[in-house]
Amino acid sequence: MKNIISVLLLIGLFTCNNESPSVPVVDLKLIVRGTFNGIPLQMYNKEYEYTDGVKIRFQLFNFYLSDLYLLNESSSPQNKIRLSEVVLVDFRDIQSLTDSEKGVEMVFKNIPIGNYTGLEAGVGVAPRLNATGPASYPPPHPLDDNYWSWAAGYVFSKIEGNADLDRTGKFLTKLTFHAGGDAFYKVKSWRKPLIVNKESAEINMTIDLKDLIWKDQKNFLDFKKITSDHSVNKEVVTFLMTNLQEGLQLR
Amino acid sequence: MYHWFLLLIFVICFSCKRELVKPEYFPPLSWPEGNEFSNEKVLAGKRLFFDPVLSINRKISCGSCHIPDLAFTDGKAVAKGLKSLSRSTPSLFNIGFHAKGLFWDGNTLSLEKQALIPVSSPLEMGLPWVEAEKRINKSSFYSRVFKKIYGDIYIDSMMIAEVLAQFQRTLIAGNSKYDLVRSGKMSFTPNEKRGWAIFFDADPMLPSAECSHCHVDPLFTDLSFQNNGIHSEAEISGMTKEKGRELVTKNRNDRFKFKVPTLRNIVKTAPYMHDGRFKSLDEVLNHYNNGGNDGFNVSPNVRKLNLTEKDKQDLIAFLHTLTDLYSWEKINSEKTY
Repeated sequence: MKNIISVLLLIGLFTCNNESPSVPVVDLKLIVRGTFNGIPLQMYNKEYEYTDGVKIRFQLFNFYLSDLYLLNESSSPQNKIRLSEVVLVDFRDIQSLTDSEKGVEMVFKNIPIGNYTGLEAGVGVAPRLNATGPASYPPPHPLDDNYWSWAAGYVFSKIEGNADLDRTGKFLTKLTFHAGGDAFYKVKSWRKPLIVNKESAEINMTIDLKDLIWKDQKNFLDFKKITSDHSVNKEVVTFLMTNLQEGLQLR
Repeated sequence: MYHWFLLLIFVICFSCKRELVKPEYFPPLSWPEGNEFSNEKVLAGKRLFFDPVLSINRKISCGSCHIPDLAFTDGKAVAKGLKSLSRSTPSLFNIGFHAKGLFWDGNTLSLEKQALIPVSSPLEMGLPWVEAEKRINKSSFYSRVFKKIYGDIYIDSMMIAEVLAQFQRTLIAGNSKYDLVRSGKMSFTPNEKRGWAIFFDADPMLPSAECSHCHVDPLFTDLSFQNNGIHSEAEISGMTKEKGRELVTKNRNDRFKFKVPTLRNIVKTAPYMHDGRFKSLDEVLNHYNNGGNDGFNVSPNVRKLNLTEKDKQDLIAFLHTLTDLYSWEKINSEKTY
């Protein structure tokens, strides 16, 4: 019996992850700040001018990022530093100017310090994760919510709010746009020198919500015609997801 | 070597903690550190849940308001213990999965903490905890039961709350017709199937009822807090105390938001809403079909639906498939004190 315990202990020791203790690490913050047409984004409390005299207010804006990596010189898959499998960038609680200035903050633990050349992330939920479901994730977890069981996949991005179409001040038109689906997932990389050390352990990204719904005078979500879509109208979901991927910027 | 391997497998199997049976598509059930699953605790909790010993007049138990045949609700618009409360009794089925807050406004995060509240509340059971502890310690039955679990020590309120919480976590309802259809063992009727598609907005050729944004499968709640537009402006102007989730967060944007209730066993839990204002599912559907009242934080998913009578009846047919009292029969038939 004593021998068996010894063997088990040995196996345990040799299967342990033998990470080098010499690489200094920091807790790295990713901060995403939102705006609407350049004005700090706040849920509920702020009215925004849209187009054709329409005003809008928001109650919810969120989106997923999957497989976040820091990139470095070589950029080979082995040399990328993984930050997270998935995060939900959720502006639900950004309800004041102070909140908006602080942004949505996520912290990644034990990231090696160094000079990186950029960031890589999939905008949406990566297909392998999109094939799972909330049952796989004990809450709190980014993937414990925002799931369409009937479509067997996650809602990659949600925009919910109200529009005042005729400027009565009543915001009676309800807006709900939910986008998702493997076909709309896209991996994107942002190239920019990122110095990660104890003095500088922060990455900043921005997104302007107007960029998601308004491209130019001919290409925009016209709330006088459409107020809701749950990835049924491919044109709408393509518009939203493409704009989200293009609009997300590394600062 | 082969024998050692078999022995190892045997040891691993028997050292595994017994887990509750739940459908594989349910979320993980987490047990708080220090109150991990224990069959003895569940049985003690079950006994205490239905025992009026924890009320000042020895007439009210947890089970007086959480009646199993009514899916652990009470059939009343607002709960009544020693006195009337201002909100209705929520169902306890699948309550162990409610990780984002308990009660209608989410004021308590764990079942252990929740169990402490009704016992001493003057509106509910009215028994100060000091007195409750004395009663349980004096009882030779409970002394014996708790000794088996915690050893020969004074039984305190936390131990009592722990066993009550453990019992409530076993109240898993995942064996409805809906679940059987989902696992391929049964089929919907045409009306139920049409109701399912309307509920989940799953067929572009059918109307969307927008239910599944908040009543998310498999719990049929996303555990969020929403203002669903049931309060009219006139009503709001007369309300001073009830503020919903705002009472917890102190955030005005949470005014009149309440926890999205589960729709599992919904046909057993009338009347509906936090104040029991709707007596039937017809009334509930009429509210949503009309788009509810306006308000700055009313969920945009609550919008005029234009459902026909047939659409509503098919939705109700689907909601009937969420009934599962069989799970309770099974839990109740298991060993008890």
